[in-house]
Amino acid sequence: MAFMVGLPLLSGFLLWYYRKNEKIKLYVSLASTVLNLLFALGLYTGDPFRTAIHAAPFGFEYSFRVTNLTGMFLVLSAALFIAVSYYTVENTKTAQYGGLYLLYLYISFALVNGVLLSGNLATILFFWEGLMAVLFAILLIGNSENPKTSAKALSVTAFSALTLMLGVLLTVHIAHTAEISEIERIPVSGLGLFAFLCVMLGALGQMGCFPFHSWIPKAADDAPTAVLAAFPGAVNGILGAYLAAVSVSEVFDLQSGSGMSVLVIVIGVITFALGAAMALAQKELKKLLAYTAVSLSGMVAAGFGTGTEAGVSGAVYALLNNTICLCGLFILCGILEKKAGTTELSRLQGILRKSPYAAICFAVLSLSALGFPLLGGFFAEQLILGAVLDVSVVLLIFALIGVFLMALNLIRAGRILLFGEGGVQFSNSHAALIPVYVLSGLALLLSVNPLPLKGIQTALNAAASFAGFPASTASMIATAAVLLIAVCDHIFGTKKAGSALDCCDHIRNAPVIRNLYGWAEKGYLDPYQWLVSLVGAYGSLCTRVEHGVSWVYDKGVPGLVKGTGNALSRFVNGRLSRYLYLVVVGLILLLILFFAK
Amino acid sequence: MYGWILVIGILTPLLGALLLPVIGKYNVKLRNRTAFALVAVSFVCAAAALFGVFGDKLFSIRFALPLGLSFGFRADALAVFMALTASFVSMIIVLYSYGYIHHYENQNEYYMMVVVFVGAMMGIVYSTNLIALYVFWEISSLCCWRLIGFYRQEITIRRANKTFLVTVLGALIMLVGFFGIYGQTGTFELMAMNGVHIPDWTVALILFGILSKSATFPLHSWLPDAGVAPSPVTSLLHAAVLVKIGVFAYARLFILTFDVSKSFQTIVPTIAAVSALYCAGVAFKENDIKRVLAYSTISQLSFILLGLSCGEKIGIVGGLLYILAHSTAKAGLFLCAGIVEHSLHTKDMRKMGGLAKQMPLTALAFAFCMFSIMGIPPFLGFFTKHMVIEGIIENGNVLLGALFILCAVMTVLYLVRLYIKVFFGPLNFPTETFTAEAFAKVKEGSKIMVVSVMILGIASLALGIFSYLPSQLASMIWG
Amino acid sequence: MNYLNYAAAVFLLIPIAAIAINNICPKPYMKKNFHTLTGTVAVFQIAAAAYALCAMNANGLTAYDFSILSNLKITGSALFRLTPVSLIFLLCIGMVAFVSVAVASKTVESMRISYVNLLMTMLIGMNGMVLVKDLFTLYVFLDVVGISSFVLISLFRSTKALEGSVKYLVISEFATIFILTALAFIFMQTGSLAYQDIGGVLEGADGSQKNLIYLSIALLIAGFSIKAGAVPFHSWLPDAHQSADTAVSILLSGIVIKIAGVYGLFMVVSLFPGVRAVQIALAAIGVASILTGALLALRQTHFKRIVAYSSVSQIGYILLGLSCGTTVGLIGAVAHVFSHAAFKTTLFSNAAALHEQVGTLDIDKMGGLQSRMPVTSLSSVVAFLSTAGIPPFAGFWSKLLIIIALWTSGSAVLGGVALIASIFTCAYLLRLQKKVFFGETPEHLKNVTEVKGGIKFVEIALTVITSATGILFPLVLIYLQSRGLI
Repeated sequence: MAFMVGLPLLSGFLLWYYRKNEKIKLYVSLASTVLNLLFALGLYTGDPFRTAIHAAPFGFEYSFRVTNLTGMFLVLSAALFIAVSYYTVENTKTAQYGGLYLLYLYISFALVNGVLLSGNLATILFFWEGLMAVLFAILLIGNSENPKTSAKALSVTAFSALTLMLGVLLTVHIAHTAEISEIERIPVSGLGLFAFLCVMLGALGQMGCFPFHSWIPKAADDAPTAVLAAFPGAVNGILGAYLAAVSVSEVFDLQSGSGMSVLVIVIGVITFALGAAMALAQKELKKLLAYTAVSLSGMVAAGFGTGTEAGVSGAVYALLNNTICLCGLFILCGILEKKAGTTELSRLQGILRKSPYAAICFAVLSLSALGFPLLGGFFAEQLILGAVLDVSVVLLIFALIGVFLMALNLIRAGRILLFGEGGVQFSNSHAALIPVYVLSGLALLLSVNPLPLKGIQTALNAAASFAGFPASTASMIATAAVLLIAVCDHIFGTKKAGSALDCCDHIRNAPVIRNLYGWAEKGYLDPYQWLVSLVGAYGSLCTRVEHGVSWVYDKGVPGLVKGTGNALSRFVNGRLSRYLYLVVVGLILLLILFFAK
Repeated sequence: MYGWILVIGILTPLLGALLLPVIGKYNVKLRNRTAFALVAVSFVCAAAALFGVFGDKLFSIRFALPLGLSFGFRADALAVFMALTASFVSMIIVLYSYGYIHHYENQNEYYMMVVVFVGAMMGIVYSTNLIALYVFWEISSLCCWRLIGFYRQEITIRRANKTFLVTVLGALIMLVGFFGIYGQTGTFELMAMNGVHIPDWTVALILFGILSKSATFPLHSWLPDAGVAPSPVTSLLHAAVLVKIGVFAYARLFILTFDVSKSFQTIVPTIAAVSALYCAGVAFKENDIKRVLAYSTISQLSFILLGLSCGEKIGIVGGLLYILAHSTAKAGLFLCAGIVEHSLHTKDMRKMGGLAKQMPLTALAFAFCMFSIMGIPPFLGFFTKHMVIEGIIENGNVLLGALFILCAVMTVLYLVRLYIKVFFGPLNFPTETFTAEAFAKVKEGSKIMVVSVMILGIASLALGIFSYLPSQLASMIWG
Repeated sequence: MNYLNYAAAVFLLIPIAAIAINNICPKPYMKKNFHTLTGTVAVFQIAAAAYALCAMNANGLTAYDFSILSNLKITGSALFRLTPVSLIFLLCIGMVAFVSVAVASKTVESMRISYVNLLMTMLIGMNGMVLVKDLFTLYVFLDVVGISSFVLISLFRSTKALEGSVKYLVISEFATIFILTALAFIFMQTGSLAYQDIGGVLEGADGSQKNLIYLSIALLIAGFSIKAGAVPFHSWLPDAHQSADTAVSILLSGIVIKIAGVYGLFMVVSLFPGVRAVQIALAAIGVASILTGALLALRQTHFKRIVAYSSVSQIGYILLGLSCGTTVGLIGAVAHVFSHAAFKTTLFSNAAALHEQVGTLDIDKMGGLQSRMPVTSLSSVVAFLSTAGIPPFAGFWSKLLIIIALWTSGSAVLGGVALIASIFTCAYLLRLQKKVFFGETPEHLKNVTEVKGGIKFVEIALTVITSATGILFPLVLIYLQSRGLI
């Protein structure tokens, strides 16, 4: 157990220590990630068990457990770590803080393993909130000149983590225990409803869903692609989905179709649709992929929201598929950026024309993310859409809009990169592309063989076995139709606008949608801006009250006391006649006192 | 039992401090070392008392006096916990002030007052009689008055007087509360009044005194104003030790000794919530780095008050650990602010930027302490914040728990704003005092200052990782 | 045992001898070392009081009657009585006289011979008041003190001093009228004014006689309150103290108002115990003087006027101590008399030092003198803390005893008000500190140096006394407990 957390930490320090020597860095990183994978597989295949470390302060208890679900997530994360760390070691050869960057990356891997392995909610929180600091530090490395991104990232993730903490504390209060295995399913009603909402907000927020998503596109502006590949690509998605899966399947007893499940689906669908819509309008590949990541996490959230076994396992399956595709796309984008020097779509036109392998990989990864039939994404999407259909048709329609926009977005991207005419050509340097090949292979593996789906069902001990053939034909037909419409619209768009780059402008400049996009650019739709302006207004209100309070302390009370002093002294004005008058009055008062009784 | 060790722990700083001005006339270095030695003596005595606590033969001593005034000193778990925290942080602050104070005048008075303050703090922590508690309480107000007025300018003296008047008024009202108890029980001795129920009006009056000393909302105005004092003073008094006296008194009186009506388990957390949220709001808009940290101290103190007043064991142990976490981390923050102010001669955040390049170690120490206050694992702040909020939720008051989570978010917001504006972002410096080359030469601040800041940063981290040690001591308090 | 007789005789004979020496010896010689003469008298008084206290304590005496110039054998001929309380008062008189003389050695240049004569007569008056056994001789010595203080105030011929002393003279006449009429009424009832005869008069009296006695008690309280400078009758005090020479105002504020006023009220309380109206009257006057004294002191700009109003306020605390009528209250009041004597004389000697070194006593013209005059400022801080009742110093313990007495005798609210009122004391003394000592030194005061000679010695001595009594007060408590008083 400690080995799983300790190994990445140790190798992180080793990499930082030997940051000058390339050779050792490569071997150490490969060795550690492969070892990590093997150990994860061992845990996955091994039987589940629990241990605890008694070094915790009073209210805490570090306990670890391995179940089928955690084993599966461990394997997924280990695979992604190999790809990401290989790419990062390659990419940060020249970077100034390369060693420090690798150290932070490996610490985040350790934290991910920690979260996946922890057996009680408090330990999950312990590793979960550690990630905030690592993310803040990583984003600060590159650009200490404009630290806005890291500040935004820390604030947003802190908000989501603290909401999660509130949810966890409420759950512990209701269930009277923090051990996940001991919690019997908490009904989602009354306090449980509030607890569920907080936990889900925290989990989905980490994955990049609606209220807490805004740091990912901002990171795409400033942070290097390696960060994007690691965090939104792999780490955040896994953590968020794992916690959502645990809370839906083990901690809470979510009734599908209940108010809370509809709310989560709505959040998921909105993120899905909005993310894809924003991705359409991007002029830059990194930002496009960032928005795609946000919107795909929306689809997964919708899956969890349905609460049925089909929906949840579909969501987990979609997560597996999406993280692999996104990680691959980000790494590919990083490689292209290194070659072309920029990620501007207009400059990357037709970059993959001359490199068939990279083109195939890009096609496989994007289509699978899209949910193209026969690829992994399709099965996952159908499970989710089927479950959403069971809940309500209206939500399905919104989901289909999302699918439509996502299809448009990725087809546009594919069209630009593969078939556009442009200057720069990408030559096949296989060495760099290895992680991409691995990931596209995994994506293909996912689509064909049913093993992962069966594995998910056993993990979620779902009763119905519906591997392979998607349940509801209606949703399948609907998706196929939507994809067809997307292709026609794409053709219509390119003919109208003349070039692939702005083939979606006809959507972008449609009357209502135009000012929606305008607002989005100006940040009106960004919850972080709402939070900052809200807190700013609250702050200035409090400052005004503070001026009042310090006026009372500095002027009010002293003035009052001096005033009474002045009044008294005017009364006793130093003239003898007034003194004598006082003496007589004093005597009279005394006499009254004595004879009043 | 070994009560005389406690008496040494209290009297050496109190009486030894009187020698400092005399030594200071002849040899400055010797005076600095004796000041550190005097504080170290009280730390050693506290450590010795620790064995007493674990061997559960508590060190205690009693002097009989008429009229219920017989006072004594007793080192139970709470006292030793507070004594160790206070003296540890004071030692580091005395070290820090070698570098900070060396070119100002009336240093002798400064060192004398700091050491007398540490003595008074030890007195408060160990005393078992309400009047003895009041005596040392007032001595600490006296030291606070002289130390805030260190720079002798018009504004600082006015602020020092304001602080003195507010805290002494609070103490007097608290004394009236003590007399209320005296009227009912006929004695001031805490040992004789274990578990006695005291009327609500006495609790309210004593609470007034506690809130004035721990600067909670209606009575907090003196703490941000005390930013005019030198940094080691603000960090010693307004971050680490002085403000903890009020919270300690709350724990000593209303948790360990007297039985108080249950309604206070909702009243005090609500006051704490109001104070926390209000001061977090003000801190967000403040531009003077020291005032931001002062407001942050006020809102973090409300967290401690919440922990102690929520009536759950988890909350109380969390509150006590929070005292430790906040003392080390906030003292570190104030000392870093001191280094920045010392080299830039300004406290205005808008005139700073990109200092991390020239002050890497200070930036790192600041980050460590900041993370601990934000409550990010593995720093101690995370565990304590978790426990405190779990306490209030366990007590059934979910709305307050949510409010405090909101306050924790605002803490993150204003601390990140401060950190980013000072240490990162485009290079910026006070143009009226520096030209570009002059600013380039601005270095880290003297070695001793950076070392003490690093110690505090690493202490927050180490305490977090090995947090079961202090928490064992803290959990023994509840008995 | 027999030394006690000599010790008792010291209080009256030594001052008389000093007057004699002062007038017989050649003028220039006396002018030069007048302070040595008066100093020795003061030292003698302190030593005698201390010795008498130890002697009486050693053989458990509570009272010792003695008389001068006539042998003891004839019963009733002993005119004077020594009790521990009066010995403490005598000790305070000696101490304040010594301080006043030490300050006078610097401030008094002219009229030294008459200064010594008047000082000695005042000393005799005060000692006599404290030692006497019957009301009438008490009144006689009261007037001796009054007259000598009028003349002392206006001794140095400044017009302001004349105005101050005239006010004091006129208002004191009122006091004399009140006290004499009261004595007459009581004499009508009892036929003799000795303390032991008056004791039981109130129980025996019925209807009209009872009213008559109530009237006389009221008049007595009014008269002695005038002399003590309590609030409705306090107006003469600041003018008199401000205009007099600092050495004289030390005497006036330090001890005269306490002996002439407070000791008188102490007698009233002990002669008429348990009279509810007396306690209410004293409590009302006490609280009124605490608040008004402090509020008025807050707005003065003259150093000595602030300290004078502070005396008015502190007298209020002593009256509160007397008003609760229990032994703890009396002990608290006497303790506060002693600590008040100590810190009041310190503040006035600071005033003398400032007057000598800076030339003015207007606090707006001063500032930041702490760095230039360290001893004076340290002693003023100690005096400020002791006045405000901040713990480690004597003022705190005496105020604590008074509040405990108030609380145990049932008037809890009064105790609370008195306690919170001491925040005003802090306020005006903090203002004083800020304006005079604790701040930046302005240009024109850069070359001010510390005061030399008598004043400096006195300041240090008084600071030591205040802090020593503060720290060692628990021993006093233990001693009192052993004597069964608490």
